[in-house]
Amino acid sequence: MTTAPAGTVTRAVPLRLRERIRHWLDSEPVLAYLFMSPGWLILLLFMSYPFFLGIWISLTDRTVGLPSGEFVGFRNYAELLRDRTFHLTVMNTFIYGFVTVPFKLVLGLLLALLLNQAFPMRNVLRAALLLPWIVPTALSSLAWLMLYDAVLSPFSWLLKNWGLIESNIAFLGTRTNAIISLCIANIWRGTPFFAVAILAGLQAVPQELHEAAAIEGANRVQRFLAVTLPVIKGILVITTLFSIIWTFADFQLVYVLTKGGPANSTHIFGTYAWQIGIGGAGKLGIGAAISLYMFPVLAVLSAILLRYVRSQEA
Amino acid sequence: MTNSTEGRWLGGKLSRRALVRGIALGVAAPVVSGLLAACAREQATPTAAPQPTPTTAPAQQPTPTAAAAATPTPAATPTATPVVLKGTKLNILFGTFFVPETQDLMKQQLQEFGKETGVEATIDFINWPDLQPKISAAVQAGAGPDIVGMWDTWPSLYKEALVDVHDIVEKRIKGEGDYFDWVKKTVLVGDQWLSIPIGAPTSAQVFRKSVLQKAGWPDPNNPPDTWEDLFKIGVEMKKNGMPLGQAFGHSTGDPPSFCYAFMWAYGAMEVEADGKTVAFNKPQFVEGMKLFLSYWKQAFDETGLSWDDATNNRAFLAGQIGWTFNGSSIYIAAKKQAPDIAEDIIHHIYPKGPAGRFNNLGSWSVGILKYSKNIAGAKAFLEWWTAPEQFRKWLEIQQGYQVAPTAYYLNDPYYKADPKLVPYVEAAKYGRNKGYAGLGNEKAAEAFARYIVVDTFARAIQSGNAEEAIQWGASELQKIYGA
Repeated sequence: MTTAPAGTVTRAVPLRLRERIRHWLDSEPVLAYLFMSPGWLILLLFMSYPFFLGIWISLTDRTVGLPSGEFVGFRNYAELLRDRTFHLTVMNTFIYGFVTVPFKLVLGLLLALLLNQAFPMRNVLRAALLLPWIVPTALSSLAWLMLYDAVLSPFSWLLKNWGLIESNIAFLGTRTNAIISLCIANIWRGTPFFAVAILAGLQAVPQELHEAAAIEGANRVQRFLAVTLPVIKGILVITTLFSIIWTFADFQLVYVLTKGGPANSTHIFGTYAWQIGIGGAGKLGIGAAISLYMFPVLAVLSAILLRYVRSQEA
Repeated sequence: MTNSTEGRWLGGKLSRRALVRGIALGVAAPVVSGLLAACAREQATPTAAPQPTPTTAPAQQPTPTAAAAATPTPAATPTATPVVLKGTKLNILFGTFFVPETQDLMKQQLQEFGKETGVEATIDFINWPDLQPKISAAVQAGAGPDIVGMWDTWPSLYKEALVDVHDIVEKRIKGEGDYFDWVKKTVLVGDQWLSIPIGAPTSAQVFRKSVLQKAGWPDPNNPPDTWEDLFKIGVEMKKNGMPLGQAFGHSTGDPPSFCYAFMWAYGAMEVEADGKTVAFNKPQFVEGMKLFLSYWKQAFDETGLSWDDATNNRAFLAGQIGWTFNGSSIYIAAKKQAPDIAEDIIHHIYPKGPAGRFNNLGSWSVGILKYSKNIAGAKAFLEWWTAPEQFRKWLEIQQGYQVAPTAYYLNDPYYKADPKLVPYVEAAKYGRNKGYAGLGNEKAAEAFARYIVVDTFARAIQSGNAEEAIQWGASELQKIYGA
């Protein structure tokens, strides 16, 4: 008498539970969240976790090889404000980020307009255009390192042979030279991204509008300004913002070419954070703080980007 | 209508919604479980890493005393090697060697060790400047190579991550005699041996005799012996298109060789013996720096600010400079590629300054990282490899490039076979550690890694202002040593 009801209960509970779970899973929002969960988890673990860990480390005096650091509040951030190399690093990053982009934009636009014309081997050239972009940066940076070599640079060799210079050019030997050299290599690498993106945008420009404008008597420049530019404006804004963000967060090119030298005069955020945090004495706390100084700038740029995309969608 | 079979499969048993739900669960479950498992593994690593699995640990990882008892002879002979090592793996990380045959030899030695013990050992060589970051990353991640080659001062930097190897070191001392003082100052961490010294490459002045002669130096077989004489003859050499060539970029070999030696020769040092009082901004050093600056444009290749450790080798072998500081790698390469240049080369120890003749010398060492799952195998290898039977081959193939950490090897024929290489051994007499007059500890490592002394010279060259550059260097050193 006592065992029978108990047996009934044990059978009934799982059934009810299973029913409830099925009901629960039948709900659209639940299913939607379930589908999103892998993406969320990946984002949480590989984006949010390192980000918040980075913030925590920046508030400690943690060093490589030691188990953990002590909480020091904003001391690392305050120290950096007094660090002259860091001031130079901030300036270099802004120069590197903002000076190169207009060049990349203009050159990319010109290239895209050229490649949008009909001519033989156009597709081959379009594919070749992508090379600087698709070659791994570390590899192309090494090529630039050879081009800028203080002893065996082909540029210096050529100029010496033409009698234009007497001794080798120190491409990476002074701050000004090194910054200019870095910017040139960065422009070379980044221009194809602009060109390809703008080229894709140019495909969307209705030919009829061009024809109509031509009939109305508009010349090439006027047609570009009145017909082409409004259509590709969105692409120009997005590629520009993306490029600024990527250039701000660059590392490889500067690391391979100068490692921040000479005399720490060419560091950008990434390389200086690396030198202090990993490559130097393993001061992870200060290294993390340097990286996080980059965050507000990137956050503002990202916000502008998202706002623009949403306004276009609306 | 709701019961219709439309949108149902498997004979109406499976609805579209059930299928979608199944897919969602199917996708989510492995991802979630995989990530949780990964997290669990990550969390388990720190405690598990120092000691491999409990069941295998007693056999694979004897305590230092047990290991010492099992191998009574200094060299780990095949018969003495514990059988349990068979089938285990070992990965070793070293910086590249300027004498490339060294790398081939080490690979051969590993194969030999593998044959004798059954350990599957591999070795990677990476560029010098990348070695420390790679070790830092491995230590931080708790995974990577089992054995690492380290430069001086690094054992202090990674003291928490290195296995105590005093048992092997004591056998080496018993067999080959005590280490040089500069070795102990730069490898010992307090009173602990956390890595085994393997000596260090030394530098010397590398001249072209014909260039000296053409510049008017009276006896090319006795090159300039003081910094000032070097600079003076450099002016004449540059006039003949063969300037002095020195790197001042962010590189860990040649730039510090020059800068530390010059700083000491002109009476300055990073810190006093107390390890706290910065002694960098000294009037004699300021005067020395002014002297150097006054000759920079006249005597040196001015592109040196961006040179790295390899640039001067290339420049010298390309016939673009007539002098540089370097290890014997230029001469060794010249013997193969350009025998006429090799014949013309003459080496000389570091120049003297008002405070004396010094060079920057600290011993390299090899250590085992605590996270290694094969500490027993790593110890067996290091004991075998640092024993004279193997270690002597390693020194020999470098033809004097690496000065041994003990006097035991210095009378070996390879150090004296070529008279041109004798200054490299002689340089060992004038060695000072980074962080002198303090210890070559983590503070010295930080100052070195931040290129403070090197950048002081680079700043002085850029600005032409010796006082300002040295003040900057002193303030940066103060942040490290005064903290």
